[in-house]
Amino acid sequence: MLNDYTIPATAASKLRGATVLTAPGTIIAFFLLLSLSACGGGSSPPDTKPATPTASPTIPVEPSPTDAPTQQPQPSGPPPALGTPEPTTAPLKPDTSADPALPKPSSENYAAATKAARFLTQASFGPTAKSIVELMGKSQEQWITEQIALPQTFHLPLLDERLEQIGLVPAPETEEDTESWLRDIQRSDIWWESAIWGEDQLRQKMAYALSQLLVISNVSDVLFNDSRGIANYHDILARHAFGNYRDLLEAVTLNPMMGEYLSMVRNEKANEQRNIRPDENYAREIMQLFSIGLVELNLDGTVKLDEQDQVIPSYGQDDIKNLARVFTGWNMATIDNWWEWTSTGDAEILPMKAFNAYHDTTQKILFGSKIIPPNQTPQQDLDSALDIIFAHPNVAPFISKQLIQRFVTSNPSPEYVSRVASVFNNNGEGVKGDLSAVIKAILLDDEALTGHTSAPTSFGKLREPILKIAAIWRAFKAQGVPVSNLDNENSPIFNNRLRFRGTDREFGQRPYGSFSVFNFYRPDFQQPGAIKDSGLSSPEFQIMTDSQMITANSYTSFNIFWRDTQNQWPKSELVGEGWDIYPSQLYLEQEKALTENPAELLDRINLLLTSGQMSKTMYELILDNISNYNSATGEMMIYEALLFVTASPEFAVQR
Amino acid sequence: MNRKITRRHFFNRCNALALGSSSSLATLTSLQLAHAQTEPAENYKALVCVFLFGGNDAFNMVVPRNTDAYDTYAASRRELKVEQQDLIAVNNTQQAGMEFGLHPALADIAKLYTDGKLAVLANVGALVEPTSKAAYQSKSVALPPQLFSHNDQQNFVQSLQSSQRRDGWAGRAAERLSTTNVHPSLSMNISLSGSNLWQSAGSIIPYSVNPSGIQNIRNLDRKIAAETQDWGEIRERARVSTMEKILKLNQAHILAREYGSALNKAWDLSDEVGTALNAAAPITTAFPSDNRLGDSLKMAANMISVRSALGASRQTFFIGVGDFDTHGDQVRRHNLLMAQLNDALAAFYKATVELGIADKVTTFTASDFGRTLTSNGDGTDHGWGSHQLIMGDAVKGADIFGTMPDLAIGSNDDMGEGRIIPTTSMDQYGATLASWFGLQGSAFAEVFPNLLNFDTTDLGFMKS
Repeated sequence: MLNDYTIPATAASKLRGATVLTAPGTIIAFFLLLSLSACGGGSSPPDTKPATPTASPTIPVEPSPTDAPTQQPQPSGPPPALGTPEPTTAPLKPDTSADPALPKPSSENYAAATKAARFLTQASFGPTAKSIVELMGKSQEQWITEQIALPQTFHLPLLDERLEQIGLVPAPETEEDTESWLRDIQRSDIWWESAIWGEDQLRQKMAYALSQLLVISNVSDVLFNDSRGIANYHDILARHAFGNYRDLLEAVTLNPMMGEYLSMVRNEKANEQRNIRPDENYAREIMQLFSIGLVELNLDGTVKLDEQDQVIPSYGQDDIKNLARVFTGWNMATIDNWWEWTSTGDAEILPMKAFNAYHDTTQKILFGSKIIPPNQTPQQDLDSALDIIFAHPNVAPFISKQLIQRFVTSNPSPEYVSRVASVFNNNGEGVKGDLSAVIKAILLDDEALTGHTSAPTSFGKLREPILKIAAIWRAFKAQGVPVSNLDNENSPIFNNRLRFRGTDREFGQRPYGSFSVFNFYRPDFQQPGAIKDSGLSSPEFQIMTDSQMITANSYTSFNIFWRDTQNQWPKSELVGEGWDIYPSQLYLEQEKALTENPAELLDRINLLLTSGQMSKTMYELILDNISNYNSATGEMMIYEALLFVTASPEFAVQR
Repeated sequence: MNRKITRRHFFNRCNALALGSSSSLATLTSLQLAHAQTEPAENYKALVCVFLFGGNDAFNMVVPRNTDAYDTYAASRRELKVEQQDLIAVNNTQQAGMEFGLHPALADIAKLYTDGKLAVLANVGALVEPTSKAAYQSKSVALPPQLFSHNDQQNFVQSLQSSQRRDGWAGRAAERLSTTNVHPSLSMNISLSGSNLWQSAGSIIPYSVNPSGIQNIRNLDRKIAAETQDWGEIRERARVSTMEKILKLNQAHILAREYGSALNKAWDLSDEVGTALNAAAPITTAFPSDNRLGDSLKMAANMISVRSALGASRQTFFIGVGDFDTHGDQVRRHNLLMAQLNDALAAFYKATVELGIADKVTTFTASDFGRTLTSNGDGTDHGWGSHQLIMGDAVKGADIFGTMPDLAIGSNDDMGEGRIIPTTSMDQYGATLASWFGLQGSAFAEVFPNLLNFDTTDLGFMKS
C-alpha cells in the first residue's frame, strides 16, 4: 500500500537529501482565510479584484513544539517505497472540433439521446454532444467499464510542470509564504481543466465525490501553502476511485495532508510528566465522518432503534480514547527525529512515517470487545484498527448512501441503498469495499435509471454550484482564458486556462475549500419549509442562501454573455489582471449555426443542459423571448436562452 | 426610528398575551410572572449571535487570578496556560472572593468589561437538566445527544432539542415575535453566515446577507424605465419579464419548486434591501481590516442602520467564525483567534454607539462546546462547558455571572481529561437573552424546552 502514491521522479530524487527546515511561517493569509463562512460568505463583490496576499507578517513559529526528548526515536520499518509516476496521457485541451448531429425531438432515437444525457449528467461533469452520441452507441455498463480502464489524469505532475513554467521551483527546500497564492491558483486551474477537459470523467467525478466525504480543505490555515500536498491528495482519491475503500481509508489516514488537517501528525502517546494524552481529533472524525457514523444503521441506511425506540450510538468516548492511542507515533516522512518540524513540498506528499518510541503500545479495545493486542508497531495497530472499523456493518450503508447522494439523488429509497450497500459488502466475489462494483451498482440501479418517471416529484438532487458551471462549460466547450500571473508585469501570458478558484465567493463552494471537515453541507440537511415538512433531505440547499443565489446567478450569466470566442473584448477586459476567477470563453460555433431556427437552438440546449426534460411551458416562454432575435443578432439569442435555462428551477435540479 | 405600534400589531400582541394567560400549562405561571415585560419605549431590539465554530477554549479566555486557583489552572493546562502576569485583571461582584483575568489579546474587550458594557457568563453548556458528576457517571441524568461531536453539539446549542427533527430557538422565537415586523417577506432573522439551525423553524428561514453587501442580480435589472429607447435595455426588460414568468411556473418537483421560490424571494429582497442600504448614511466607525468577523459585524451594523426602512422592530443576526477547533498549535492559533474576536467586537460596539442603539443591540458568543483542560501535546480536544461573553448597554456589565468551575483535573466538575460539566444551561442563557428581547408568557417553554428543568430561568445578566 505504501507504494501506492504518485511521486514524480524529480521529487523522489530529492527526498534522500531533504534537509530539515525550521518552520516557515504558516500564518500569512490567516486572517484572510480565518472565517470563511459556511455559505462561502464573500470577501469581495464579483468583478472586483480579490485582495492579493499582503506581505508575510513576521510572526515567529516555534520550530519544534516541545523540548527534544532524551530518547532517540527509532523509525519503524523500511522507508516507504516510492511509486513510479505515471505520465498524464491525455493532454488537457479545450475542444473546438465539430460535433456530431444530435437527434431532434421528433426523431426516433431522441429518447436514447435523452437517456444518454441523463446518465452522463449523473456519471460525469456533464454531457457534451460528443459524449451523448458516443454513449448512444453502447451500453451504460460498457461506458463505465471503459471509463474505469482509462488512464488517470494526475494533477501533481501537471502542477509541478506549471510551477516550473512560471519560474517557481516545484518543491523548494525552503517554502516562501508569498508564493502560496500563486501556487494554489495553478493547482485549482488543473482541477478545473481535468474536470472539464479530462477523458477520465467518471474517475475524476468519483474523486470529487470522495473529496466531499474524506474532506481536507485549505480554507483553514492548517494546509496553508500545501498545494502540492492537496494535488497529491486528489490524485490518491482518484487513484483509489475504483479500488478498495479499506485501502483508500489507509492511504488517507497516512496522508500528511489529512495528518495536518485532523492533527494525527505528531500525535504522541500519553506522557504523565507533561500531563499530555493522545489527540482525539482523527480518532473521532474517522469514525463519525469517514466510516461508520454516529449511530447504528440498517443495511438500507435507515437508523436502527433499540427496544425503547432510541437510536444506538455506534461508539462512545472510550472508543475514541482507545482509537486515539492507536493513531500515535506518526510524523512527516522527511524527518529523522520526532521533534523536527518540516513542511516542504516533499513532506506534503509522502505517507507519514512511524516513530515507535512515540507510539502507545498498550492494549486497545474498540466497540467493547474488539481487542488490539499490546506491543504492536504503529503500522500493525493501524492495520488492526482499520480492519475493525472496516468490518463494522455501518460502513456499507453509510458510505453507499452518501455516494448515491453525490451522483444520483438526495433521497434514495431504502431499497436502493440496500442494493448498493449489499454490493459494497460483497462485490460478487466475496470482496468488501470494491468501489468499482459500488459505482456500477449506483449508476446502473433501476432507481437511478428510472427515478424521474417513478418518483417524478422528488427524485434527484439539486445540482451543486460547482457542477452547474461544469455542465455549462462542458456542453458549450469552455476554452479557458489567457492569464498572466498576478501582479507580475513581466509574466508571460498562458492561454486556455480555466482559472476559477474564487468560487467560494461567487458560488458558495470550492473544491478542497469547505468550511470544515463536515463538508459544504450535511447529507441530512433539510431546507426549512416544504422540504423539511415532507421529511426529505436537500444537502445542496444548505449553501443555496439568498446571497449565494444572487451572486451565483450573476456570475453564471456574466460567464455567458459575450463569452463567445469570436468576441475579442472579454480578452482585453480581463487579461493580465491576475484575478483568481475569470469567466471562461465558450466555443459556440454549433449553436450559432442554429440561430436561423430558434426552436432548434433551444432543442439543443434542452438536450445538453436538461436532458430533454424541460417543461413545455418553460420551453415556450424561452422560445417566445428568443424569437425576437434574428440571425443578425443570433449570438444574443444564444446568451438569452442560456441565461434562462441556467437560472431556471428546472436546470437547478438534476433528475 | 420610533415607530408607532400599529393596530394590527397591537391586536397580535393582545392575542399573544391572551393565549399565554389562558394556557393550560399551570406550571408556566411562575415563568410568566418572571418574564412579564412592559413594552419598551423605543421599539427596536436586536440579538447578535457570534458563533465560535469548532469549540472555543474559553478556559484560556477567562482565567482565575487568585494564587491557589491560578496554580490549579496552571497545573491542569501546563504548556497551554496563559502566564499569570499576562492576564488582564478585571473585577467582579458575583464570584465572591475570586479574581479573574482576561486573555492578553482581549484588551479592548477588557475595557468594555470595565466600562460596564460587557459581562461574562461562566461555564455554560449543553444540558437537558442539572447534571452532577455522580449523575453523569451513573447515567441517571438525561444528556444532550452525542456530547463532544461538533455538528451535534452545534445543533443542540442552536436548537436545544434532542430529537432527530429539530428547529432553532431563534427560529421558534421568530415564529412568536415576527408579527412585530411589518415587512411581508424579510425574515426577522438575518444571517451573515448562510444557513443555520439557530434561526430556522417551521417556515422561518434566515435571510442571508453577504458580508460584502447586497448585490443586484446581474443582467436582470428591474429598474430600467419602461420608456427606454435603448435596444439593450429594451431587451433586458423583456428578459426580466420572461425570467419572472419562469420562476413563477408551477413546478411539480419539490426541489425545483422550493428553488424557484427561494430564488424569487432572493431576487426581490436583493432589490429592496439593496436600495435601502444604498440610501443609508455610511457607518463611519472603523472596522479592522483582514478580519472576517469584523466584516460580518460591519454588515450587520449596516443592516441595523436601515431597520426603519425595512420595517423591522425585532431582528436576530447570526455570524459564524471558524477555526476554533484547536487540536494542534493551540497557543499560537488561539492568540490570533482572541485578537480577531477582540478587534471585531470592539468595533461593532462602537458602531452601535454611533447608531445610537447600543442599548438595543445585545451581542453574545456561543460555541460548539468548551475544550479539555488537559493537553494532547500542543492542543486540546472537545470538551463541554465553556464561558461566554455578552456585550451591549442593556447588559449588566463588569461582572461574571453563573458559577465558576473547579479547574483541577478530577474535580467534581471534571467528567474526565478536564472536560468540564456545565453548571449553567444553554436554555437558561438563551431564555435570559430572549426575555430581554421581548419573548413573553407561555412562549418560553416552547422556545426553551429544557428551561423548566432548572431553578433559575433568568440569570440576571441583563438590565430589565
